[in-house]
Amino acid sequence: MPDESERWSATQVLALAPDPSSQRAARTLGTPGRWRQTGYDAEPPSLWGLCQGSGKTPYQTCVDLAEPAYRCSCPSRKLPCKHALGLLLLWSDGYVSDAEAPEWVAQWRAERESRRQRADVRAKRDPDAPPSAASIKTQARRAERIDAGVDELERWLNDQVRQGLAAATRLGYAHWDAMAARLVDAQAPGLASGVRRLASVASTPERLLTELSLLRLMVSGYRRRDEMPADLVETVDARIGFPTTTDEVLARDPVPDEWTVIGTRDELDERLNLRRVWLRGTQTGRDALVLSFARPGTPLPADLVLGTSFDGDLCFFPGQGNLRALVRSRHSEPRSVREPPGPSATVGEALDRYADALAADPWQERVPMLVGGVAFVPAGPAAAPDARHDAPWHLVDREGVALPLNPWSRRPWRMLAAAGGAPVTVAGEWSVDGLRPLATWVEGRLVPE
Amino acid sequence: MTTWPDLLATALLGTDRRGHARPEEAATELLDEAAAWSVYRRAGTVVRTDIPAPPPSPDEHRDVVVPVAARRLAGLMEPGGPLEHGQRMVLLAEWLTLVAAHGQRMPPEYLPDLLDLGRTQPDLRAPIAAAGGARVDWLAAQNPDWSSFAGTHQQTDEDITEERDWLGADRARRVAFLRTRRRSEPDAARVLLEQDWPRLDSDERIELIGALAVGLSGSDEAFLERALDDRRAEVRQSAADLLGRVPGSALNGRMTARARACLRRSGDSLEITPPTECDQSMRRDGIAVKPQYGSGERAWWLHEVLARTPLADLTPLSPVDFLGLEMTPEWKATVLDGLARAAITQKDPQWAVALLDVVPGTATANLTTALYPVVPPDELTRRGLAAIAGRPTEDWVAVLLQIPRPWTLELAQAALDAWVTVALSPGPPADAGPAQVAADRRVSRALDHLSRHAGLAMPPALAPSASAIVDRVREAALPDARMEPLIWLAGMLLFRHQMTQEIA
Repeated sequence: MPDESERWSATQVLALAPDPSSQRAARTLGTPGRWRQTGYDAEPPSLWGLCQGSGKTPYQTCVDLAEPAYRCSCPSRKLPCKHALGLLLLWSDGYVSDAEAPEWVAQWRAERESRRQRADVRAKRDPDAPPSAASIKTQARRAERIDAGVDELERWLNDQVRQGLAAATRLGYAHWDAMAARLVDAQAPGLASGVRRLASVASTPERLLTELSLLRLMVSGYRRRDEMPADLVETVDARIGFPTTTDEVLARDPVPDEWTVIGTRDELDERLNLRRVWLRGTQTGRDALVLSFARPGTPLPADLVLGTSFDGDLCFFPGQGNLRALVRSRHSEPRSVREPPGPSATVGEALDRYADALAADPWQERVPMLVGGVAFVPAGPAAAPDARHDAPWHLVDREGVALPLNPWSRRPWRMLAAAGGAPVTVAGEWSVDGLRPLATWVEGRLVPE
Repeated sequence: MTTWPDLLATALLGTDRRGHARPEEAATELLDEAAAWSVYRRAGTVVRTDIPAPPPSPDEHRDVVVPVAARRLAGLMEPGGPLEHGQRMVLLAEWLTLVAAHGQRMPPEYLPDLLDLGRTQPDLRAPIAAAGGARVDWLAAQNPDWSSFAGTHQQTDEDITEERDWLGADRARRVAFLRTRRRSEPDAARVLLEQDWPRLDSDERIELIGALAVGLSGSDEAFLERALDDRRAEVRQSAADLLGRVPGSALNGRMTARARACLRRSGDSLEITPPTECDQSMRRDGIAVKPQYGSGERAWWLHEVLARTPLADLTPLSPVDFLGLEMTPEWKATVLDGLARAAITQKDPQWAVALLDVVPGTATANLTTALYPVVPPDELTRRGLAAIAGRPTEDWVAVLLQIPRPWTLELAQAALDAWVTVALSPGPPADAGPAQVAADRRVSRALDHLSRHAGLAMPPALAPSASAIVDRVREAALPDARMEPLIWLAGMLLFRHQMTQEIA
């Protein structure tokens, strides 16, 4: 049996669930009465057990904790299935003891190992091979299109301020979407989504001017590529939407560290579900963002679990101050962290960090924040005598400096209740609307949003 | 450099209005300047330093439950599982009560959801307050939606007992303050309310007068008696209800006199004369003029008077002897119903037991169901055992369905034994007539109902025996209709058994 702290918490386990019904089912299955012949093996870290389902033969369930990866003989297509989750819960409660892996577990391991070797062979194509003539041609064509798109955007931006924002604030979505669509055609998806976002701020002239001017800044940046340092050019390219392949990212210098997941947030959409995972490196103090996408109905990858850390290498996407990264390799299995990683900042320090991030990349929309010694202050009469219903909450640090919480995010009653007014460390996502708290640590427990 | 407000003003109107010679360049210039401002403004977030943090919650001395127990709570909180809403609420109350009984406390992050539940589930409020510790009071003070929880937990936090909270505070805070103060100094707290009373609007009066239920005594009588003349009916009703709970109050005396005038003993019979009018004095004491439930006026007034009469003062006879008197059939049901209501409100076990024997069983099921909780556990067990011993299945099941949770081990064991016998008894033969088949269906249905009730009423320690019975009965290959209730019962007991062990 590994050390207590090596086991994941139930919150971490349930975060892996592809949907709420799996969570419910897993809670029912995560009780000792349901399982037989369970075991844990440290080398490689894995769990297994037999779960009695509705049929005669029990399901064989196995979890590789390092990735994690799952295997279950049940017919469910969900990944992980409720049995794997139930087994993990059982383990998280300390019901699974050390044992020798049975034959069927060993066999699964062998199958995975051979698959991995095949994948490695595929991955080891020569990275320095010169690009083919066809791909050079494609790139040239793309650059032409983007040039044309940027020209058009420049004129369009000017038109908005020439005619006056007062007129623009009254225009519907169609006005913005039309320009966004032309930028999609110009193969500049970053510019397109920047224009599409204007629709949501159009009713506030101040926000509208801000966003228009930041698009203008992108245009100027693109025009002045030749005068700028290389990594700033990369930033502009990334924002405009030049694609970067996974291989290109993984070929960049790896950043080794102990990486802790300090927040995850899902944005569920009709067309595409998005998961943002925020990481903080203990040694380097660097922030990282791992994005994943899935079509509705398919689970988002859940290999990075809130409140866990791992030793490993991240590769950051090109661009100065780009937080987006990919996990290149892991050198340890995920560990539960009962305390927030590294020193936490005061509100002032966290905002300085944000200013630094903007200096590196002025288009930065969101940055992670880890602030310590802060108390949740609800928008009560104490905060403002004329408090409206949507008045913001705050995090107030020991120096009395208040960080506004995003009024559009869910009210963090759970975290407030857990902290009980005591100063705690809070991780969250900062944007111009304020901080969206994603997790807090109280008495060795991680309390998610 | 142009200031941001000037840039914004120009942008709003449009740069073309300024009549520049080179309009494109004017627009570009404005956007370039605005971009510098935008980044500058974002980077220089202006923070407030004038937001006072509320005082933290007092220190807790109890440990938070172990993770596996916390997970059980999370499961119980979630709708949509295999449990019905009502069952979840009962199990939640049981979980919370167990936690408090073992000197532990719940992880406070679940409190917001629980306090929301408590708004519509009054039965959960006391268990939540017990398992949540001082955090409940603290949290309730942060959100007006949770005001019903404020002051529910005994605490000596200085903050809440300061009088400035009384004077300036919102209604929820005042109620909390009053309840807290009533525990330590009931009279001083009432005097505070009395002093403020003329200034309060009627909504405030309605809420605040209810707080006098804490630490209620004879010295509150004079104030409450005056409140009987209040302009708002809700205030009068609260005052009347509270006075009814003050032993020897003038209101109780008046009500007893009215009841005695209605019920006169003459030899072995009881002469029943319902009131002929609802006079000013009766109305003042909280009796509604208009009948509810479509009964006649006189029957209604009689019922209301009896329901508010202190039973201890009604008659020198014992409850059994009094109820043994001959009654006019016309009014008998009304009298029994009124007395039953009184027994329920006053939690009088002797009257409750005596009434159960005379109230006709099925006709007034709601009434008997309400009487049972007043009956002491020993008596309940006796009644349950007697029913099991002498009656057909459907009948004893009907009795057990009315016996409230929790059952004694003795009763639960006897019920299980009887259950096995029924379950293992052969069903109707293949050539059974329709009547026999219907009777068999009724038994199965009754057992199904019983399993839902007994699963929550039997002590969870019986889980192993119930599971053993299921195994035994499974071998007998019974029809599903007979098996299902037993499986459900065993499953529920097992659930509660595990839940208990996680906390112990």
